[in-house]
Amino acid sequence: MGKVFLFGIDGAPPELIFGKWLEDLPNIKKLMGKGAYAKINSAIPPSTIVAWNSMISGKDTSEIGIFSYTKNKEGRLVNSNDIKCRLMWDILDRAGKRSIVLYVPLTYPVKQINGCMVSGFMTPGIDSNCVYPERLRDKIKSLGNADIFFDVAVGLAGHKGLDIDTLIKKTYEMTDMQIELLKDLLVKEEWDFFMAVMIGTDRLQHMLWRHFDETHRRFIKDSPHKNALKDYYAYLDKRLGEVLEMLDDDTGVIVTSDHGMIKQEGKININNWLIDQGYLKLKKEITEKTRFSADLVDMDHTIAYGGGAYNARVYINKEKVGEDYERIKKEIADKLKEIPDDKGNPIDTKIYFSEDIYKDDSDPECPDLTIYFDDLRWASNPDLGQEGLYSWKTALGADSAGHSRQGSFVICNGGVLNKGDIGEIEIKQVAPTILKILDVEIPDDIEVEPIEVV
Amino acid sequence: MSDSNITTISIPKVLSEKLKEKMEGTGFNSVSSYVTYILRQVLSSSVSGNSGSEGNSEEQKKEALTEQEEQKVKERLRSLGYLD
Repeated sequence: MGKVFLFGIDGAPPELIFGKWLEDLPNIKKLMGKGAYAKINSAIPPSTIVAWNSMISGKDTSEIGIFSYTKNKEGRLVNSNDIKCRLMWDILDRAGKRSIVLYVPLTYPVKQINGCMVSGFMTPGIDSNCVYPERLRDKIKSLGNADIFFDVAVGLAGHKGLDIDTLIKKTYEMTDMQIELLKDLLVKEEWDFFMAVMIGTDRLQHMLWRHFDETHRRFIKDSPHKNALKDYYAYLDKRLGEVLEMLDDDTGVIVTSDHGMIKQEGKININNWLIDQGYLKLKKEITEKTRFSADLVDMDHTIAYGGGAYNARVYINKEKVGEDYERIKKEIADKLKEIPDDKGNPIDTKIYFSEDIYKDDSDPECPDLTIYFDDLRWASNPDLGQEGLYSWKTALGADSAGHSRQGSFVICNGGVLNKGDIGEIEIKQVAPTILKILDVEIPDDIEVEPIEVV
Repeated sequence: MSDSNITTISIPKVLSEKLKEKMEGTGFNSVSSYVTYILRQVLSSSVSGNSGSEGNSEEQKKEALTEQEEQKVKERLRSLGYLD
């Protein structure tokens, strides 16, 4: 009977992991050499909470039922109760297999699974419903500063206001504690499937990109933090090496990210553009910077409005456009593609139509168009009261890098040996791949195939 | 799971036989593991999986975020630029 150990590295970009920094990551390099590796195509959109859940369900965004961090109508944050599909541990439980699930995004509040679960970065605090079974709570408290166990950003008004040295220090502290618990459960618990997601990489990448990427338009030359991200990856690789030593040789090992990362040029003010083009009308003119809300929209005279923080989303007012829906949708998409960068140069914008990418686009939260401006090098800013089409900074929030379409995937053992570079895989393929290694029947409703080398 | 963590519960033989029939093709290899699975379903207020969007029981509300917690997490997500 096989076992699978999945080590998640949030946002690890293949350009750095498989390329520029590979020599500094000996354990990942060894796995790549022994097994197989690929670029992993993320979910649409490549949002952390959507992508990880797509990976462990084999389902698309619409089947998971999560399109963003908030439910548009209620404005409340999404949580694990909003997930509509079965996840890996549900499938494995039915087959009598035991799962240890650590820090997977959108697992808060935790479920009482066959095994153990500690929730991910949206956990409000250590005294919340974040552990199963209960005994793990004291264990976490004993590890040190439980306030930053789930995320370094806890209690901070914004990363930007935070001294970078402090952010880096806290990220190491968080990761140390997370790895300690991981190792403890790895040896003390029985398991068939073990999964842990490290969020520290994502947190540092959002803030540190312009400290090392010379092509970034806001590159900081000779920054004292120019090696900080690479150093953190090297540290994480070392910790991974310690963990790998603890596994049986025949355990299938997967090291993977949910998406990649890419420098951010700036933001395109999507709602400003829709207003200029005559698609969006507000109830009253807004001159001060205001967070967008559908409540501000004059729906009787509006054809479309926008959202989205990294990718842009366009929602078409179907009641207003009626039978013109298809034509309007195409018209807006064609015009969006023509938006140039701030210097007037054409950009590589990708636009996805809901019916082409989702199995069920009937959910009112499902955007009609999902837009990757310049393949996500340009982000989206839905705020109102902005001047013009472009903005460079937000009052709050990281603006150094955003999520990209492709992450990194490495698999070794569990039947995979010496396959090398296998090109590209889809994130949904990971779920059936895990089931195949574990010799568990793949449910009929998972329609994607396991990756070919398994 | 070591044996010291296991306890014995008596159920009618007929029930056990029926469960044995019902579990055919489910992937469970013993009535015990099947019953354990069913009991977990009962104990979990919103058993993970298809029931995610079903019901809005007090239990479920209690599990999710309080208003204060929600604000705290939202602030954190805004600082990452994740909220639009």
